[in-house]
Formats: sequence, structure tokens, C-alpha cells
Amino acid sequence: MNMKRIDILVRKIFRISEYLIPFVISILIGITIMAFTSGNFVESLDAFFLKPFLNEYFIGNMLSGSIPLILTGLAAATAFSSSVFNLGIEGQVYSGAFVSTLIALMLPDQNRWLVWILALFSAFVFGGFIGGISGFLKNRFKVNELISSLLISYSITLFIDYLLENPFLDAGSGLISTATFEDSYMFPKILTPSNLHCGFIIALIVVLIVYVVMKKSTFGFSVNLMGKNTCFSEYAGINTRKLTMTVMVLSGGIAASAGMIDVFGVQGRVIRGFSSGYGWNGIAIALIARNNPLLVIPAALFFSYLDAGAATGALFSDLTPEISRIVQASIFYFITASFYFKFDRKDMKI
Amino acid sequence: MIFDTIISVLISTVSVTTPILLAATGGMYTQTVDELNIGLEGLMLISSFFSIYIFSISGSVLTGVITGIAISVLMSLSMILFRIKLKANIFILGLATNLLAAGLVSFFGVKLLGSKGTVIFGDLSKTTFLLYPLRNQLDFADSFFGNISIFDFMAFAAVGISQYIIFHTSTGIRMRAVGLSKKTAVSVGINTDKNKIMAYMFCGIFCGISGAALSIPVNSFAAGMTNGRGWIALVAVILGRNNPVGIMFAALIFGFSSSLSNILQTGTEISPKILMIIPFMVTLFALIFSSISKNKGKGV
Amino acid sequence: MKSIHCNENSLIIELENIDKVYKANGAHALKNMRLVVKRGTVHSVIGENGAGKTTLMKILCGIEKEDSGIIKINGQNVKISNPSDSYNLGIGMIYQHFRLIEEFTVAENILLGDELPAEVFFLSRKKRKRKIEKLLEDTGMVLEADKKIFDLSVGEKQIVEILRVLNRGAEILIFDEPTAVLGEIETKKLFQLIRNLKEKGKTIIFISHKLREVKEISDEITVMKNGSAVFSGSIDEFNLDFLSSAMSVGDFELKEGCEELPDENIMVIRDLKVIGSDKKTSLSGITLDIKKGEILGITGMSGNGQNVLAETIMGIRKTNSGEIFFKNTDVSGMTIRERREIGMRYVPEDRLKEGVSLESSIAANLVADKIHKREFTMNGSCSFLKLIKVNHVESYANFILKEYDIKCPDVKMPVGMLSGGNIQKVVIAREISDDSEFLVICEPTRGVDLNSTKFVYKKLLEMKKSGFTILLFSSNIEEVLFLTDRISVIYEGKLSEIYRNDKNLDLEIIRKKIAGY
Repeated sequence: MNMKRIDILVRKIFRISEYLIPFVISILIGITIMAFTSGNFVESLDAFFLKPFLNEYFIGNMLSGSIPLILTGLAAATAFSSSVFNLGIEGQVYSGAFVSTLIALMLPDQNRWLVWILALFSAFVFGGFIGGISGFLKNRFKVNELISSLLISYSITLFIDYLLENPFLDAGSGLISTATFEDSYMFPKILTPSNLHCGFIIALIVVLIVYVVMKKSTFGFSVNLMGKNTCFSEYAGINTRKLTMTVMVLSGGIAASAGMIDVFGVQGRVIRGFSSGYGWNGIAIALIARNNPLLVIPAALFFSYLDAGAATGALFSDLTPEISRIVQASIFYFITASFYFKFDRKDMKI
Repeated sequence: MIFDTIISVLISTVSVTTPILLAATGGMYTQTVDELNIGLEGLMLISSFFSIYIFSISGSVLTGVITGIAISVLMSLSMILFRIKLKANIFILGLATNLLAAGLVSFFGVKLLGSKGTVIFGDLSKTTFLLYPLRNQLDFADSFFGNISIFDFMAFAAVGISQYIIFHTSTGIRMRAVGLSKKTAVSVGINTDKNKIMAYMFCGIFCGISGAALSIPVNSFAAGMTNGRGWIALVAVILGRNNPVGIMFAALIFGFSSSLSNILQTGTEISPKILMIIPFMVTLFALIFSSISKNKGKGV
Repeated sequence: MKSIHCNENSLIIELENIDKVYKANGAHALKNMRLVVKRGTVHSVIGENGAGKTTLMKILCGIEKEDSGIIKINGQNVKISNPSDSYNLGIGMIYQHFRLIEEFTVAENILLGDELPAEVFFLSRKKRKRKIEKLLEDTGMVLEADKKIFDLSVGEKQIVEILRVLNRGAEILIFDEPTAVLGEIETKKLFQLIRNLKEKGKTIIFISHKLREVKEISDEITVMKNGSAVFSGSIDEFNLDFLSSAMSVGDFELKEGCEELPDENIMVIRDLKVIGSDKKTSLSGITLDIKKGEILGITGMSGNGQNVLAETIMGIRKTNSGEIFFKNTDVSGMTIRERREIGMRYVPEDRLKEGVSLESSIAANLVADKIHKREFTMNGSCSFLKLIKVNHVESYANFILKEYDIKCPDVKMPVGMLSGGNIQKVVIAREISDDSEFLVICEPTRGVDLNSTKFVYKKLLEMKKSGFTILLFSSNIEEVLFLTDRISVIYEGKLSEIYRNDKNLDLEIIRKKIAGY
């Protein structure tokens, strides 16, 4: 019994350390680049790695930056854990932001709770609908959802660009964006003067709900089974078509909620192209978190920490902010190596 | 008037098709060995940056293109080596390549060019790569070939070369064998890893040219230069069903609908953004129809 | 190598102390295996399924690597680390499951892997065709070089495999269960071919578990059991009885007779038509009655529509026309889950792909089809809110593990860490350990070790006793003869008439039907 426990512990340590290696390598790559590009190495290390924790303002912004990453990461993780690939997250975020902003603009002087709930709901439904199209195309015509979601996302993005440039353009703002809705509809701020807002708490709650559903419910059981072996789950009696559809709708809905929360927390309007890059970052985070909803939080915080480090690095030293993107991408690259780790040691066999 | 329109549609079709066709041809090799590379976008992006940058320094198109190809091949090979040596998932490696390329390009953009936005290399001579020898007295040929760059020529040549490689050389037959039945390939003594590496090398080469074809003809570079073309190329690979000629037609469908949307942008009042949706929708519908015809009559 | 000509009876292959453990499932396939083959002989290697014959041959072909031991070819120590090494040593294998590319032509398949250096630049179809024609002329075989493989008969496909290794200059030809896929006439042709090859000085290794054939064709024989050689010597030294007791696994013999079957049909299939992936696997009008409480065996070479039929019965494939009744209910419009609800169960052929989810835990695999049932979940109106009682699932899983004698420390471990035999036990346990009464089971012992095979047979016969009806798909005819009450043969999507499995059963008819006559 004791041996067994030690064995399990050893395996766990092995797994965790294996998981951490990519992070260590990537940060080392980042440090190496800093050493070559920076005039004052020590100063830039400090600026990049420690300055994000300098005061409440930086910490708040770092946390605020993680909100859309958490939600898009969650959207991707939900889809990926069932082996359904939603690459249209960016368009879904954009359309969620747009639809929810429309609701807020159309309903002035209302109870803010009513507006929030309506906006979140309609964003979710619209995003879910967009995701659902890909689910439908996959079920009905066997069109690869990876490609269809991407093509639809491009189209939706262009369409919303058009709406922002023409019918909904707020000419006075100087930006290509909608009008700003009233301040009372904005989420309350935390840690002012930073950008952090109550959306952070919503994001955490959503993570928790998704975690419970994915890990504890029969729905989550089916999703995981399908993700690990679609063919088998079908044999075991799971309706994979229905599940594919549900998952695409959920994933699209969560992504669209990210758009709504970003708009109501930070900008108060939709600015053209604001969601650019959200989709790919979300996918990266889901993969780093290995599709585990809870691990999405640290993964998103880490990404946002690197972004914050890039910002403070540029502010307090001579670093190029793009270093963070190289570190992010190389983590991603190295994590792939151990991603599909198989048990090929014979002593672990029974 | 109509004549001019036809010419301009043709020219713009070809110029839109070129980078997509090149990248799709590269992607086809990886599909042939059954390890589809979804990192085409990243390979194109990295090459489009370095080829124009080296071109601007050296003044030689050839040096620029070769550098672009070399870097693209390097990234492509590192993908397949990660796949073979570390058993990494090729799909995730593709996504990683796209992200890494975007990161590298924005980093080097700032470091080397000092700008994150669009950089225009205005003083470079544009005419060096035009196909003057093909010009002649005919109006049509004059106005058509006068606007065809060496890259357009290379894209369609790539189709012919690939058709030849895939179906008429031992390399091609081995790559196809690896993709069709890995077991058979192994048991007749074919080195599957070697063939996969070969396929990724070809992929790197064609994506490298494709990237150069984006930046060099317009003498500029922007971080969003590829703008989803790598993904469209992927659609072309799937639509073309592993056949270079099929892929060419798939890429031409996108190219033609894009050029139609370009023409309509100048000729009508419709918003350009709306018109830009056309090629994506056309591609999506092509995908749907292709899927329908492929699955016709099958059970399940 | 090939040019070395020693005296007639020199040893061409000497294997000493070969040991092999499969890392993937921990199976000890070969233990201290010894094999000595004389030049110019037909040497049979026999033994039951799972005795290690195929592993041994894979080592000779460079597909698997031995853990330890010595390999000598023509008296010289050699290392075979990949298939090319094996070809260079003059060893060629004819696989039971042909290693051919269906989309390629005969010529392309024969020359695959043997392309000339110059062909990197251009591959001349004409030259290749001429090469094949010369090869055909030399060997006296008949084939069309430009035909695609999927247009060939099974016998022709085998010839393509033989030509491939001859083209590579093979001196030693290994035939892995070559007659398993052949009819009587084709078998005779093959034996003639093997004799011709022997006359030309080739050495043949013939792997089989059909004693009659072994007696007919071979000069020498090695009997394998549990990964080692138990006997070796000239064929004349052994008689058939002795051989079969040496191999002794189970008493695979014709049954004395089978009990009277009830008239009640549990399943009735009428004129079932399903389009498969190609013509051979499409079902063209299947009509079948399955009686309550029987084991009905459907045998035939794999790839003749068995999987399509099994999958259609379970609802994984849609029917194009025809009807399937289960207990007088038309099930053809039902989903898989609905069919499971009324008592239909399924063990697919490809267990690792379709029978389990390797990365999921043992517990999850055991309850995969019944997780929504009340005993495992708390109340909840929809699947999002229906929470799983984890401890109930785990205690159920532990109970099953004990019942089926599957040893593992933790039910939370992924199924992929179990051996092939234990995985099969997990699949069967899931499918029969609740109130079901009808089981479709495909190739239940393929790739399963001996002990688990015995366990599976015992379990299936037990189930029959307790009133289960079993539809068994198996290409292993001994297995079908051993287990079933009635037998039908499937060939190119059509079923033969049903034969009662008793002493009046004519095995030759079954063999002919299998070959499509």
C-alpha cells in the first residue's frame, strides 16, 4: 500500500515537472533575448519580471487583461475537450460585443441589472448561433468545423466592420466605433485607477460553472469521452452529433460573453478591430491549460503577466514589448512536445 | 471597356491566387504524407517579412526570396522534427508555428524596421521581376503579361512541378505510399520519417516563395500581411483532394471571387467590407458542395 | 549474401535465445526462443494464436526489435534493425493481412521501396512495366502490371506480395498464415508455387496453425507455445496427434452435437441493404433469423462486410433498405442508445479504437454506456445538472475488476495501461454486466493472449447458458466451430445458408463458401 502511494506520488511529480519544463525553457529564451537586446540586462529583468507587481495600478491592469483571455480560453477549452475545433472565437467575441452594445444603446435609462442580463443573454445566444452554424455544417454535410468556423469568423468580422463604419458609426468620437453607452451601465471598477472591473468576478464564476459541468456532470462525462475517442463514445450510445452541436453553441456563447464583458468593463462601446488576436490567444491558453477549465485561470494570468511585463519592460527599460509574444509562442511550441505524452515505460504497465 | 475589364479581372485573379496557390501546394505535400500542416499562415508570414527585408538590404530579389525560403524551411522542418522526435501533435504544432511567426515578425519588425505598422520600401525597383520576355505586340498579351510577376509564373509552375514530383518520381510515389498505408510503406523498407521530413521541406519551400510573393511585389510589409491566406490555402488543400491541379482550381475559385469583389468595389456603391465577404462565402459554399459530392451515396 | 553457396543442408537461419516484451502492453511474446532453418527446405512454424509466431517473424523482418538474443543468417551474426536490412539479407515476408496499397497498380506495389536512384528524377512507367513482365516470365506467374490492387482477387494479391519479395532477391520467404485467406483451389495453387520456389533453392518459412497443411507441405517443423519452441525436427518424426497435443490450447474440435434450439427468434433481419466503403463490404440483401439463446457464428475473410453488418445491427450505420426486428420491435430507426436500452450489446472488432477510450480511466470505460442511469447520478433535469456520484462509479468499477480478475491498483488509471487481454475483459465486462440479453461480438480473441482467450470463451459459453443470445463474427474458423450452434459464411456482403454446427457439418463446404465458391 505504501509503495503504491509512493508510486502514485512519483508519477504525479513526474507529470507536474514535465508540465513546467516548457515554461522554464520559454522564459529562458525570453531572458536570452533580453540579454542580447537590452543595454542594461539587470534593469530590464527587473522591469519585465518584477515591475508588473509594482503597485495596484499595474496589478489591476494585469488582472483586467486576463479577463478576456480567461473567457476565450474557456471557450476554446470547452470545444477542444470534445475534439471539436472552434477557430472562430475571434468573430464570436466581436459579434458578442456588438450585439450587447446594441442592447445597451437601445435601452437607455433602464435598470442596469436588466440591461446586463439582457446584453449577456443576447450576446451568448448570438455567439452560440454562429458557433452552431459550424456544428450544423459538420453534422449535416461533414464540413470540417475548424475551417468553417474560421471562414464564418472572417465573414462576420468583415460584416461588423461594415456596420461600424457605416450605419452605426459615431462620427464624433474620432475612432471607428459605435456610440458610447451610458456610464451607469458600465461594470463597477475594482482597484481604481486601474482597468480592473467586476467582469473579473463574472469570469471566475463562469469558469467555476463550466468546471463543475465539465468535470462532474454526465454532460461533461460525455464530452470528455467524445473528446478522447469519438468513435467509442458513439458506440457507447452517446449522440455525438447532438453533442457536437451543443459544444459549438456553448463555445461560441462563452466567446461572445467575453466580448460583452470586455465592452461593459472597459470601453463602453465597440471599437473596430478591438478583438483582434483574442481568438488565437484563447486557443493558446486552452492548450496550455490542457483543456482543464480551472487551469485556464493560471494560464490566462500567466499570459497577461507576460503582456504586463512587456508593457512595464518598455516603460522602465529599453526592452521591446514584443519579447512577450515570443515567450508566449515558444511556451506553446514546447508544450506541444509533451502534450500527447504517452505511457511507454514498461514498468508502468500492468 | 469590356476588354479592359476582362484583363483586369484576369490580372487580379492571378495575383490573388498566386500566394494562396503556392502555400496550398506546400500544404498538399504534408497532406500527402498524412501530416497536414496548419501552420501555412505562419510560414508565409515569416518568409514575407524576411524576404522583403533582405531584398531591401541586398537589392537582389533572388537573395531576398532565398532567405525567405530558408527561414520558412527551417521552421517547417522544426515542426516535423518535433513531431517525429517528441511525438508532438501536428495540429497543435501548426497553431504554435502561426503564433511563433506572428511573435517573431512583430519583434523583428520593431527591432529591424522600427515599426509595428506597415513599412513601405519605396525606393526598390519594381520592374526587376516582371516577365518582359513574354511581352509581345498583341494587346492582350501585352497588358496581361505586363502585369504578371515572376511569382505568378512560379505559382503555376509549382503546380506542374508538383504534379510531376507526386506522380512521376520515386519521391512522390513513396510519399503517397506513406500517406495511404504507413504499414505497407514500413514493411517494404520505406523510411517514413525521411519522407515526412521531405514533405515538410517542400512545404517550407513553397510557403517561403508564397510569403515572398506577398511582400516583394508590393514593396512593403505589414504584420497582418498574410491576413488569413494560409487558412484559405488550407481550404484549397482540402478542396483539391491531394491533387495539384485540383488545388489550383480551388485556389482559382477564391482568386476569382476575390477579384470580382475588387472590381465591384471600384464599380459600385456597395461597401467594400461587404464585398470582401464574397470570397470567404464562396469558399465556404465550395467546401459544402465538395463535401456533399464526396459523401454521396455513402452510409453512416 | 545471396552469392554464398554452401552445401545443400547448411543452416540459413539460426536464432538463439530471442526474448521480446512488448512495451505497449507488457506482453512477454518471446522467451528464449530458438529456431534453426536449413537451406532449401520448407520449415513450418506452428502454434496457437498468441504463441509468438508473428512476433518472431516481425523480428526477422526488422519491424520489431528483439530485446536480447542472437540472429545468424548464413552463419554470420547480423543485426536487423529495419525492413531494409531484412531485404538486404535476402529475407522477404508475405503478410497475412496484405501490405499492399489498394490505390496503386500491381507494378507500383511490387516495385515500392525498390525504386532506382535515377527514378528520383523520372519514373518511367514503360521501363517498370518491362521489369515486371520479366519478373513474371522468370517466375512463371500471370498478372497484369497495370491493374489496380482493388481489382484483384485475394489469390492475386498474394501473388503480388510474393513477387515483391522475389524482386528484392529474397532467398528466404516467410509466409504468415498464407492459407487463412485462401479457398481450397487457391491453397493448392499456392502449395504448388511453394514447391516450385523450393526447387529453385529458396528457403520457405511457413507459419500456420493448420496441422493438415503443415504435414502436407513442410520438411521441418518447429512448434511454439507461449513464446518458446517446445519441439523442433523433421516432419516425419511427428505424427498429427502428437503435434496437436504439443500445441494443446483447448480442444478445438467438432462438437458432438448441439442441443435443440427454441423456435423463438430474438432477431429477425429482412433484406438488409447497406452501402459500405466499397463493393465488397456493401450488404446486398441480408436475411437472417437469430434464435433466442443460441450462439450464431458468422465467419469469412475479414473485409467482406462483417463490420458493416455488425454496425448496422447496432445502429452505428444507417440502413439503405430492409428491416431489423429485435424482439418483434423494428429497431432500424432507433439510435444506438435506444437499442442499448432494450438490451442489445456490442463488442467491436477494433477494441483499442472503438471498444474503449484508451486515455480515459478504467472506471469511466466501465460505465461509459450507463453513466446516465440512476444508480450513478444525482437528480438533475438535464445532462448539465445531472451530477455523477463518483464514489458509486468507483465502487462499481472495483467490484467489476474483482469479478473479472483484472489486476490494477487504481480504477482511475487510464485503460491504455492495461494489457490487450485485460482491455478485452474490460470491454466484455461493460457489455454484459447488466440486464442485457443480446450481444454482437466481433473477433473476440484477435490479439488477445492465451489465458484471456480461454477466459473469453468460458465467459461466452457461460452467458449462453444463462440465456444470452450471441452473434459472433470471427474469421478464425476454429473459434467459430468451438463456440457456435449454427454457422453462416459471409462473402462480399452476402450470407450463405445457415449450417448447424454438429457432426454432420461439412467443413469443406464452409471453406469453399469462405473463398467465394
